Amino acid sequence: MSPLSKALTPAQKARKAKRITSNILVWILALFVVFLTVFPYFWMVLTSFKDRLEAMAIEFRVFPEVFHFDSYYALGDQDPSFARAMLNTVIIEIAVIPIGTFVTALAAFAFAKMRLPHKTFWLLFLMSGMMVPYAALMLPQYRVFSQIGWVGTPLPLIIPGLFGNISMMFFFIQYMKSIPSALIEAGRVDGASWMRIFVQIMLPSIFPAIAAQVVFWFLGIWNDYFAPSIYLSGSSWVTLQALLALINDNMQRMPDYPLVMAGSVISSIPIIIIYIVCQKYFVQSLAASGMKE
Amino acid sequence: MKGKFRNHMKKVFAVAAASMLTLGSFAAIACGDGRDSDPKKLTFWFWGSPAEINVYNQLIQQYQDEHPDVTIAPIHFESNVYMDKFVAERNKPDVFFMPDTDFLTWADAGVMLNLNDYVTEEELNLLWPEAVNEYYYNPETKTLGKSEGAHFYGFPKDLGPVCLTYNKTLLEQQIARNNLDRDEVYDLLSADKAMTWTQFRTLLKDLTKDQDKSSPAQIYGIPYYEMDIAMYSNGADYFKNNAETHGIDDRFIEAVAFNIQLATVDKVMPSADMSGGTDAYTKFFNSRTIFTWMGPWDNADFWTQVKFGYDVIPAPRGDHDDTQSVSMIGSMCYGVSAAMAAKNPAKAKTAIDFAKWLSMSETCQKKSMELGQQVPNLLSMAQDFISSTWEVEPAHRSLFVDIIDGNSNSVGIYSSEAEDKISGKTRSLYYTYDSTWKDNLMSYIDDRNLWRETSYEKIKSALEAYKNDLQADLNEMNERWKG
Amino acid sequence: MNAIAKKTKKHDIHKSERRTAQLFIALPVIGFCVFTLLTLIAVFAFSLMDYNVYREEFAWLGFKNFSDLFTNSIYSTAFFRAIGNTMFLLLGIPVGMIVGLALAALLQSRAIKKCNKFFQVLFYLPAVTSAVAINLVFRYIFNPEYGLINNLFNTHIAWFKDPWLLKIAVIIKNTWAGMGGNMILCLAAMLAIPSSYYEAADIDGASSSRKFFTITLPLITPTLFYMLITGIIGGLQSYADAQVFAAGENGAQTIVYFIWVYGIKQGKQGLASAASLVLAIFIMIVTLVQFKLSNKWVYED
Repeated sequence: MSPLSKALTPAQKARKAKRITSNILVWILALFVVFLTVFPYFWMVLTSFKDRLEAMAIEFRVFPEVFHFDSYYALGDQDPSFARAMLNTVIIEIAVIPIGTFVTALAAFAFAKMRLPHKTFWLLFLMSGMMVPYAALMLPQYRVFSQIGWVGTPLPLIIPGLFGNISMMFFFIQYMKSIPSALIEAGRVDGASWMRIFVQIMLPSIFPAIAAQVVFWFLGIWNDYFAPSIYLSGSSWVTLQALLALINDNMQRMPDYPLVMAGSVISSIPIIIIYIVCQKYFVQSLAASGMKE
Repeated sequence: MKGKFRNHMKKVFAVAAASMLTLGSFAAIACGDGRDSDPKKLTFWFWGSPAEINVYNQLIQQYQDEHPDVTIAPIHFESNVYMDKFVAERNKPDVFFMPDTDFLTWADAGVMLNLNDYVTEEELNLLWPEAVNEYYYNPETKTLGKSEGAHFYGFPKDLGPVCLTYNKTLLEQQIARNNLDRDEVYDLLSADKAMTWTQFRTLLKDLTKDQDKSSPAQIYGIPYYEMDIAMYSNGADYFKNNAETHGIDDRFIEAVAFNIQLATVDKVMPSADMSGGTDAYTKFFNSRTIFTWMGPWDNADFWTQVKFGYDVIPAPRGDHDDTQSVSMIGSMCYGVSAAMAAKNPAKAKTAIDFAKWLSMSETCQKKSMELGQQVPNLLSMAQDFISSTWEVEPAHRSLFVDIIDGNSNSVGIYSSEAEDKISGKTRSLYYTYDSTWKDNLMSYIDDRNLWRETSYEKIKSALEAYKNDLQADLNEMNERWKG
Repeated sequence: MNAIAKKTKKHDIHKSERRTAQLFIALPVIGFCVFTLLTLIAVFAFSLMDYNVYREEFAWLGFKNFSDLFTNSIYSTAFFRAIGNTMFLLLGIPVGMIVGLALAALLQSRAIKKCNKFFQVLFYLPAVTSAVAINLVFRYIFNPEYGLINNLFNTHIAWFKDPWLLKIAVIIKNTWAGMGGNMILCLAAMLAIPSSYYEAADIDGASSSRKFFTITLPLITPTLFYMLITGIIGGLQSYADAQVFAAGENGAQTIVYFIWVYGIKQGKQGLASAASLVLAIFIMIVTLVQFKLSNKWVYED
C-alpha cells in the first residue's frame, strides 16, 4: 500500500473489511478476558464492603446493600497491625531482592556466556535444589533456624534469598542465550574485564528480563504465606499474607470474609503500582537496549 | 587487565561484605529473641479467635500485675499451624496449649512435664473430675486415665461438650408449613431425654416434607452428622481394648449406615455431591438447616450474629434399648515443658504456677464464660453457668453440664433419670497414638463411594471387608506406641 | 616461538575466564550447600530410619520406608493416590502456558495496540490477588450448592466431591491465578525479538498467524522451556491447593501433601523423607529428560 494510491482496489477493500472483522473479534476476546480476570477481583473488592453476615449470605448478590468501611478500619486493630505487617513485608522485599537479583544474574552470566568447567554439572547441581520439596526440608531446616534463634525473625526468609534464586537464574540463562555473543566478544577485544562486561553490557541488555523477574520475585515474596506462617507467626514480624491467613483462620468457625477481602485489596495495591512502574521499564528499555537491531 | 580484574573483584567482595553485614545485623536482632534461662520469664503458646486472644492478653497482664517479677511472652498462631510448629520446634515453649487429640502422643514422648508432685488432690478436686481424669497417662503401661502409677500431665483448659441446636424460628415455620402437631414436636425436643434415631429421622423428614429435595436451595434437617457421636450413641466405637482391636461390628456398621442414609435415604442431610459446599455454620446462619451441632464456644458468635432464637437438645441415641445419648467432648489442657523443667527447676515452678492459675483462676473462668467461650472449668462455677438469672441463650444450657457430668454426677445438678442418661465421651482421636487409622478409614469410605450408597447391606459388606485393614493400621500404630 | 607464546596467552585468558566464572557462581553454590545440601543429607539419613519425631527416636530400617511406600497398603494407597493426583494436576502447566501465550499474543495484536497498557494491567490482576482471597473466591465460585457456576448454569455439579472435577477446579483456579505471570513471561520474550525479523517477513507478505508460528514461537522457545521446567518442578511440589483449596479431600491430595501429613502431622519423618527423596529423584529424571529433549525444540543463538 503506497501512500500515494488513493483509490482502493477491490482486493484491498476486502482485506480492509477482513481486518475490521478481525479487529472486532480481538476486541471481544480481549474484553472477555478482562471480564474473567476482573470479576473475581471485583468480587473481592465488593465483598470487602459487605457486612459480615451479608458476606455469608447464600443468595447471589453482587453489590453490598450498604457500603461498610468497617473492615478497613478493623485492619488497624489486628495484632500486629496491618500497617506493621506491610512494613515487615517491604523490609523483607528490600533486603532480599536487590542483592539476590545481582548475585543471580552474575551466576547466570557465567553459565550463559563464559567458559565454566563442568557447566552442566553445576547447573543441574544448583537446579537440584529446586527439585527437593520444601515440605521435606522444612523440619530439619526449621530446627537449625530455631537453634540459632532465627525463628520469629525474618532471617529465614531473607538470608537464603541473598544467595540467589535458582529459578530466576535459570530464566536469566535462557534469556542471555538470546543476547548475541558478539557484544561480549567486542567487550573482550576492548580489554574489558568480565565484571565490567557483565555490568555494562549484559545487565542493560537483560533489563526487561530483570524487570519481569523482579516483579515475579517481589510478588512471590509478597504473596507467600506458607513459610512466613511457619517462621513468623506469633512474632511482630508477621508478613501481610501470614496476617491474612491468621485472620482467616481465627474466624474459622464464623468467617469474616469482608475483613480478609479488605486486607487482600489493600495488599494488592502496592503490587499493582509496582507492576505499572515496571511495565513502563521493560517496554522502554527494549527500545533502548539496541536489541531490536 | 589484571588490575581491572582486581578492581571488579573488589566489587564482588563489596557485595559479599554487604550481604554479610545485613546478615550480621539481622543475626544481632535475632539473638535478642534467644532462649531465656531467667526463671521468671516464660513463653506461652496458644491459639484462638481474636476475642479469645484478647482475653488471654488481659489475663496475662493481670497475672503479671499480681506477680510483678514474672514476665510472660504470649505467642499465638493459626490453629492449623499450631501443631505443625509444635512438632517442628525442638525447644518446646514453657507453657502451651495441648489439644486432647494430641495429648497421648506428647505425654508419651516425655515432652510434657509430670505434674504429680506439683498439684494436690484438693486443687484437682476443684475441677471437673472428667477433665482431670483425661490428662492422666501411664507411660509404663501405656494407658490413659487416672490409675495407679499414672502421671498427671496437663491442667485442663476446658471441656467442650457438643450437642444439637435448632433454629426456633425456622422450626416454627416448618411445623406450620407441614401441618405438624406442635406439641408432639416439642415433646421430642426435650433437653432431658434423647430421641432415638428413628424418631429423629422421622422428625427431620416430617419437618422438611415441603422441600424440593433436588434443589440446592432446600432447607435441610441437619448439615452433617458427627461420626463419633453416632458411634458412641449406638454403643459402638472404632476400636476396643485400649485401641488394640478394631471395633467393626453391627453397632459400628449401623452408626456409619445411619450417618450415610440420613443423606441418601431420608434426604434430610446434604448429599455427598453437595458436601464441601456451604459449611454448617453458614447454613445455620442463613436458616437453611433446622438443626446443627454446637459447642459452648459457639455462643460467642451466636449471641452477636444470629438473628433467631436457638436452643439445645441431646444427641439422638441408637434404636437399641440399651443405648444412651453419648455426645462428643472436645478438650484442651495447659502443658509445661519437661525439657525446660529438667534444666531449670526454678523456671518450672514459675511455669507450673502460671498454668495452674490459667486452669483454676476464677477470673479467667468467669471471663471465658461470659464471652460465650466455655463451660467453666471449676465445679463451683457450674451453677453460675446454668443459673436462670444469667439471661442468655440457649435456655437449656444445663445440657452442656449434663453431657460433661453424666457419668459421675459430681455437681448434683444432673437432671435426668439413670436409664436414659445423657453423657459425653472424649473424641476418638484422644485414645490413639496417631490418626493414620482414621484418615485411612475415612478415605476408604470415600473411595468406595459409600456416601452415595442407599443399601444397608452394601454398606455393611464394604465395612466388613475393611476389618483387616483397620486392624493392620491399629497394629502398626500400636507397634510405634507400645513397642 | 611466537605461536607458542600466543597459545600460552590464550590458555591464560581461558584460565582466568574459568576462574572468574567459578567465582561468579560461588555464592549460589555456597547458598545451596548451606541451605539445601546439608539438609538433604539429613533427609537422606532419615529416609533410612524409623524417625519418630515426637520421641526424637531413631531406629535403623534400611530401605523399609521405601518399600512401605509402594507395597504396604497402609501407606501405599494414599501414596499412589497422591502420585496420580499430582500427575493429573500437571496438565495445568501446558494449559497455563497456552493461556499465557494467547494473552501475550492478544496484547501484541494491532487492534488493541493503543490500549495495550490498560489491558496489560487488567490481565495482570489475578497475579496481584492474594492467595488467601483467591481460595475464598474460587471456593465460592465452585461451591456445589450456591456457587457461581452452578447458580449461573443451573447445574448441580459436585465440584468438590468428585475427584476428577476437584482436580479440574484446581487447574482452573491455578490457570486463573497464573495467567498474569505467564502472560508477562511470554510478553517479555516476544518483545525481545528483534523487529527486523518481522520487517523481513512483512516484505515477504507473511500473514500474522504465519509470523507467529514461524518467528515468534520458535524465538521464544527458551522462555517456554523455562516455563515448562519450572512449571513441572513447581507442579510436582504443589501442596497448598490440596490443603487449603481442596480442604484435604482425597481427590486433590498431592505427593507433598502426603509428605506433610506423614512427616509432620503423623510424626513419621522417616517415611516422609523417603517419599521426598522418591519425588526429588523423579523430578530430577524428568528435568534431565527435558534438558536432553530441549536440543530438539529450544532455539539457541
